[in-house]
Amino acid sequence: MTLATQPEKVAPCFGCAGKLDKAHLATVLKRLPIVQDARLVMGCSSFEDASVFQIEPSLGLVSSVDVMDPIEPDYYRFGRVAAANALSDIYAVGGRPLVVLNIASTPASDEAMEHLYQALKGAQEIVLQAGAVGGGGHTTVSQAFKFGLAVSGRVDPGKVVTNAGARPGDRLILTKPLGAMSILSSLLPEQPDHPLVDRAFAVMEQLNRAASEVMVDVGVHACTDVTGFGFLGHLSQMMEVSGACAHIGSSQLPLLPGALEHALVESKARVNNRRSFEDHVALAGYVPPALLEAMYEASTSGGLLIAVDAHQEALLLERLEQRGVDAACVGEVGPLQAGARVVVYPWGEL
Amino acid sequence: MLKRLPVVQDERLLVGCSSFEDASVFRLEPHLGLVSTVDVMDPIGLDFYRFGRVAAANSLSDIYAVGGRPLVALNVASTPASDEALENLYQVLKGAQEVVVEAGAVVGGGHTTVSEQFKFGLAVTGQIHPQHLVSNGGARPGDSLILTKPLGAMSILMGLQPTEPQHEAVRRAFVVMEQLNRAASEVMIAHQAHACTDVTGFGFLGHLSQMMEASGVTAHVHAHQIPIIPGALEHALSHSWDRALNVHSFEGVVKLKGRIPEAHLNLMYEASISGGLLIAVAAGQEKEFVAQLARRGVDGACVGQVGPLQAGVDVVVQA
Repeated sequence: MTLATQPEKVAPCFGCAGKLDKAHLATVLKRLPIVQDARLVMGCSSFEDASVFQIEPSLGLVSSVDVMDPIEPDYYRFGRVAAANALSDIYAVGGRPLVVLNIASTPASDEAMEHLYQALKGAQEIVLQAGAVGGGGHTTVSQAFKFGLAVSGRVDPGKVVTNAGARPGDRLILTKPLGAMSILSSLLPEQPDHPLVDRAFAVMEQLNRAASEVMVDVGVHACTDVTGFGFLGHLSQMMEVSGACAHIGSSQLPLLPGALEHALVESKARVNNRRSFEDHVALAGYVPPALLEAMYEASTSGGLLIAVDAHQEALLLERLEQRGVDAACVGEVGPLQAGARVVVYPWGEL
Repeated sequence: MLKRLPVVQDERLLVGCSSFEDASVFRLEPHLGLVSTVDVMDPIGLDFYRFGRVAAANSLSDIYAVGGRPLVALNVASTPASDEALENLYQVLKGAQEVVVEAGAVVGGGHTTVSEQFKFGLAVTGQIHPQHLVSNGGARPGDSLILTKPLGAMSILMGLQPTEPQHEAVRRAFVVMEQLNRAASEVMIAHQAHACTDVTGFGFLGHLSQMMEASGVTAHVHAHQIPIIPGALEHALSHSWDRALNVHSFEGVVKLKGRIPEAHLNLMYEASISGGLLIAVAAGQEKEFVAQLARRGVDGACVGQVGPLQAGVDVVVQA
């Protein structure tokens, strides 16, 4: 394994990396008056991916919104990624997306208009693949190009999968490999035709639809999707609200080919994630820095991270494989532990 | 640019983005439609708390304009990461939340990106009975046209707010923009109105023109009947880029009869934020309709009538 370092290179702020970091956002949200509403089955208070509102006893409205910085220069594939990313929040709670609205801000130049067209075209393709429909959108003029989608869908309120249900003994399943953003940040600006770039885009364009349908079908304890806060950030939040501690085998993590070689590219979002979550992550021995950085990387349209009963693990993995989802068991859930929400074990241990 | 996108047909989409509608409507169940809309805005002035209130009322208005009931709002923000900008964001979120709660909806979360420019808006989802859907394409000859908020808030904000933020006219302009179109929408549903739109970025004449085009009719409005916020006319003569754009887009389909004072015409063309509902009701209903609005605290007025289609003319403005 080569662990090339490229500290002189600063990654552009792609995709979910442009999200406001957790600490800054928390200082704002903490001060807002708390509004209780019994119809809100799931709100934004516990790091959930989407909100769920009960319309009728068996009908929940699931809503989510995501806006991203472009992944230059391929705006068409960026549109596909942005759509898969926004739809993923619906899939993470076990919902089915129905209507999407495009949200764009763009300079008024002809070049930017062409970019917007490419992004909308890519997004529309993925929305159709998800069985949803575009209901319009809103575009504002701005110096910076940004694009995202607001998605509404339905879910049975009794079958909502939260991020809070993980129990000791559960197995943790990840449905997409890590490393796509590091690869893009490092290679896309200068080698857009590199095969690893295509591979990274393909992973991010993949819908979490099949993973979600299998998860709902088999029945699982908890789920979240891996996006801006990275694998360790989202896992840490899941453990916090579940009141448990995750044990992760570093050698079990699925990684894109090339991910480790590019994992040390400097990234502000990853630094933010590390700062936000490293107090809750314990290392049970030596973990290679590149591997650890890949776990902190801000993902865009990452996989679902699922906690499933140990007895159901084999069935879940088998069904995921049948649907073409390349999933892996990355560890297990243990009882609440003082000082750590996630313990990462050295290569080959756990 | 939207024309270049492949057209996707989906029979579950009862109202799409094809005909200038304010919101999309998706059939979930035979008795239940999902209404969705999103709006994002640049800050207006220096009072971010009131801006948040206005932004929320503005986004919710798209749901009210089709006769829907808002359920869940998601905040969409972009902000610099400075302490000052985060304080502004807090003020905005606080103001928006108050108005969302007033609408009987809930804030379900949101998304914030880092950007040099501060922008804020809401994505709102609501419900509607598909049979109660009020489109902008149902106006018929003989209908009366009702406007539920006075015009002129933008002229006051542009002309007065920078130098005299405490001025009474500025306060009134904010009150108008913060007012929800909820009561107006409920009165509209009770009266089985024929058509509705809300007055926002394209201005009174722009949105009226689109409604007439979608309905295949021509509107006749009376300039002196149009409600105006006190103080607005005095500030309606300075140049506004948004208004110039609206004039450019719509003056070809607007016919003037008689001498209309320039300030009046400017207010009719000016871009609104969180403007009122513009409603077409059956002839003879206008008095009762306006009285009902007044009972609910809404200052509505009959501004004209709908006539048969005049080729090439969407709106006739009479002095």
